[in-house]
Amino acid sequence: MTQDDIKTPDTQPDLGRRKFLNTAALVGLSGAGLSVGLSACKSKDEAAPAEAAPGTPAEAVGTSKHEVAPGQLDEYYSFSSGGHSGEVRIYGIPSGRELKRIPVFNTDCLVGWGITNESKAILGTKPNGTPKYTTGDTHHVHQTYTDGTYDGKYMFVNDKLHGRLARIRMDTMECDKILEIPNIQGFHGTFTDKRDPVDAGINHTTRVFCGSEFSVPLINDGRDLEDGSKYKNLFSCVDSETMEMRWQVLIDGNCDLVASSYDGKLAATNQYNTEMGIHYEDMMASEMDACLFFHVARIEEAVKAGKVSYLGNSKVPVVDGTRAASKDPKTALTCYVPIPKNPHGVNITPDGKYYACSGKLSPTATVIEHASVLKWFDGELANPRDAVVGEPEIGLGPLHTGFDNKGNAYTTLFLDSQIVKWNVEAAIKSYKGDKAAKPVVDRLDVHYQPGHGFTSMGETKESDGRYFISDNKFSKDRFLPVGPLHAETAQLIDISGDKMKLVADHSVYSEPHDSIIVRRDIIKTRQVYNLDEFPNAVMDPKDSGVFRNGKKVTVKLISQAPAFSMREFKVKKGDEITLILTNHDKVEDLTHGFGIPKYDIQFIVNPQETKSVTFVADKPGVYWCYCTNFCHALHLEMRTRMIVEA
Amino acid sequence: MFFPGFFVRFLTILYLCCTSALATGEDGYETPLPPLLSTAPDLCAHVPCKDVLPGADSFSHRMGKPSYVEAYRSKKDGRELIGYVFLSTDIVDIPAYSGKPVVTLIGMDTRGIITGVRILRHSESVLLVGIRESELTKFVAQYVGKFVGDMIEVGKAGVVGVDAISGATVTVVTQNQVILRSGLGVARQVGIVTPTIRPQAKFTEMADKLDWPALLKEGSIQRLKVDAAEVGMPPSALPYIDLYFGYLNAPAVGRSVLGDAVYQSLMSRLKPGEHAIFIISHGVGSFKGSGFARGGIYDRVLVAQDIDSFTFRDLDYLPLYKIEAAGASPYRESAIFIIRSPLFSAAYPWRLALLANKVDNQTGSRTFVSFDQEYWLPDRHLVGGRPKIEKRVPLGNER
Repeated sequence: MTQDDIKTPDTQPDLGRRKFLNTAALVGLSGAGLSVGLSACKSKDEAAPAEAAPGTPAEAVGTSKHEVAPGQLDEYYSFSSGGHSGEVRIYGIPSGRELKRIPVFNTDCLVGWGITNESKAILGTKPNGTPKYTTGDTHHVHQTYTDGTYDGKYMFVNDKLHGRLARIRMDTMECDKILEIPNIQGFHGTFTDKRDPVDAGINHTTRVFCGSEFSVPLINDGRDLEDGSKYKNLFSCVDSETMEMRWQVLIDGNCDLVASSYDGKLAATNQYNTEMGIHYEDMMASEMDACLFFHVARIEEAVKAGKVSYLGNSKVPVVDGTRAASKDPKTALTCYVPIPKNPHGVNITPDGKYYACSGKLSPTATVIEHASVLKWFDGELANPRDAVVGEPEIGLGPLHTGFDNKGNAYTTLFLDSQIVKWNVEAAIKSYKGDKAAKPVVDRLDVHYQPGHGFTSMGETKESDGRYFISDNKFSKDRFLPVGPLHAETAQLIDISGDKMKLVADHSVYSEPHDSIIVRRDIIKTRQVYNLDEFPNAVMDPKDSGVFRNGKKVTVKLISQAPAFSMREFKVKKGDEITLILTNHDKVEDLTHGFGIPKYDIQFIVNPQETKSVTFVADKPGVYWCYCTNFCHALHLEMRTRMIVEA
Repeated sequence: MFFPGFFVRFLTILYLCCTSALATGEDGYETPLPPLLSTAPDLCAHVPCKDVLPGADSFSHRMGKPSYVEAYRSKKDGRELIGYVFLSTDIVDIPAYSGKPVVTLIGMDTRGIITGVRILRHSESVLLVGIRESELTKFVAQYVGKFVGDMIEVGKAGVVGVDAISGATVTVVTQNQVILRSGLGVARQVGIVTPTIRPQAKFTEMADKLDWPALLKEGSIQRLKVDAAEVGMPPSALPYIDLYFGYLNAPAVGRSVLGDAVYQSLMSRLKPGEHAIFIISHGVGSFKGSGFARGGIYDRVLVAQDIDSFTFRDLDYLPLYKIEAAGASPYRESAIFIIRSPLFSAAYPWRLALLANKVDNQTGSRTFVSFDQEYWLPDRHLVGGRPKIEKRVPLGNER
């Protein structure tokens, strides 16, 4: 490192915080050295933590209870998005063991996702049969709820890149449906609802809310390219069972993160671009942006009453939730609560009473009372801003908030590279003018620059106050160097005591965006598949063979360790082959692979599972298809010849 | 106690060293079977029935459900019934190490004594890798002369025991099940053994939750402790295994051990006639071993009830996350196993049998010893208390 390199703002102690903010804060945020006014800071006499030196090692003592001995099992699952890897990952907590990667929007040649016909049918294909998209950007994972807590049925994850919502079955932990949401771009936030707002009998998830971050011309077919006033955003609702669109709401401003209330009545999204700016300086023009609330029951009444429009070819009913349409609270579908400034993150407390919105460019968190927002919709609250009941100053660059079971909130501070623990009731008292109330309880350095942060079971009414994970965007010096692309850090913090305690640095491959920590007893997985659930299964070894219908050839094959049911099969050059492979092994974990050299085919079949691939046999010759997934002492011998006659 | 306590016996060690006895063309491995084997009425036209029932000179067609054939010996005035011959795959579907069944032809006389066992085909590649195939032939030969209604267990002496094959315990444990369960299936049909009718237990609903010492004291948790010396290992501070187990379907036991939520969740996964037990243990030994990883069969534990025995496949295992009952002994290994058979009834006594083993460091071969512990739900868990039972004389001693 040269001297120049280390002249970072952190090493300039004389720089006042305000000045520091004005000169350097946005370097960290945007990468551009632009000087932009930020909302006013309150007095900034918060003491920095004693052990503030970056690179201070985690406490070596007292971590043993967070270790998991060989052969022992973790207490929690962490389900994590994989960012622009397009996948979802599963870790054990507290150990940080990586347990699985679930391919969703990406191509995965280990399992054959994007290669098998079955996965292509879920992904959607172009007319030539190849997947419509092979890239994706997973952002948020949320599971279905029953009675305010996870029920282990489904998990949803969004693709910000192409505007898709995917569903993962929790029994097999595989993706089973993908929906492309019409007329949106930048699908950032998503959240499942927790119960029906009207029907008391539906005390479980039936909807998934989806927010679009990027404004685009409403019909984005080449019209209105340069007219920013025509760029709009939609907030969407998907049916969690059918994975079909229910409705969309036309709004002013954009959507960022999404939250849902415990009583099912409201969905919320924070808006950092109420300005509807197209360039980022425009997006930061206003001191106040908003947290936008959706009245789910009224929206669905409006849809039922036919007060809808349709955009282009889309058959999805769209209702009007713009500011102009929401002037009368008693009929409004939406409520715009003003909050400072370019907020990021909206999270609901486990008791369902409050939403915390982080300021991002304001050093505050805004506490909005759920009951007050409902009052506004009933015409009993004069001003949406009156729903704000707390706005503590917590530090620089607040992004996301998790909650424990003792009324405390834990917010990631991107710029300060800290987690701040603050008490929600104290923040409310302080806002009311109680000078004795001190909202901030504790601060902890994390390494470095946290994005999402979340607590164990913290997005349920069963929040247990055990762990907080800080998904940090940079690891810098925390791990062995591995070239220019570093691992990222998911730091595990014990929040069970008064003081937060950093107990583990877990390395993660780029780039986890958000995660949830779920108690292990909630998850019930299947051990093997059933032959019967695959309509194309080859049920009996006697059914194996090559079946020709003109140029279309079906090859039916069975795997049972250590052999495939045919030692060789013959096809002709130019045939369109559909190869169906059923794994007849019943032993748990006895998965077989099937790789065809030079034909760019590889996939696996789990016990009792059936998969198929379709390809044109365009190269004559002998091709040794072999089992790629270690299965048996005679794994290497497990082969079959595909003979392509010229 | 209904059964004597612990049985200990050291078995002959089979030194099956690492010879390069790869496929030597011995009978059995992936041998093609007659195409009509599983369907032809005249079973003995296709397979050597006489080999497993010496003295028989004619056989009936397949009869019964599941099917078997009668074996006859010619006499001056006709013929006499001298036994039965049956094909294992007609009666049981028990995949062995390979995931495929060992197709076995079994003969049994009219008193239920096994007269011959012949392996027609197996797919046990483990028997091609360092273990001679003849060991399996030798293993099944041990059954000849034994009564099918005896509780024959691998590595067991006290009742009737057969020796294991080191390195192929999954194969022999499943083969033991194959021979006994097929034999019993036929013996019950022809009246050699009275069909077992054990009515399912009716559990009392009790709200109270007991802590660990109280569960142990009342007997709804049992302990099986084996010292290192008992398996021929050098004395050690740690036991070979110190194991606790109990029956979870009984609500007052299940709720105490697992807590209400996990108990409910577990019961919701069980079908009628399925039973959950838990095991925890510490010590140097393992009750899981690694046989299940390849063959899918847990080869170290089984549950026995009267003449029936129940082994566990990998699909019968569920993780045991936590003991809720306060004061539980610390443990290193844990499991919930599901008994999937209506033949098992928790109203009656049963045994947990553990196949312990000692490894020879030089050759890796193992010596097997079986231990067991009886379990009978205490009166208060059963509506009407424990049923009256007659103490069964081991059948092998009747004649």
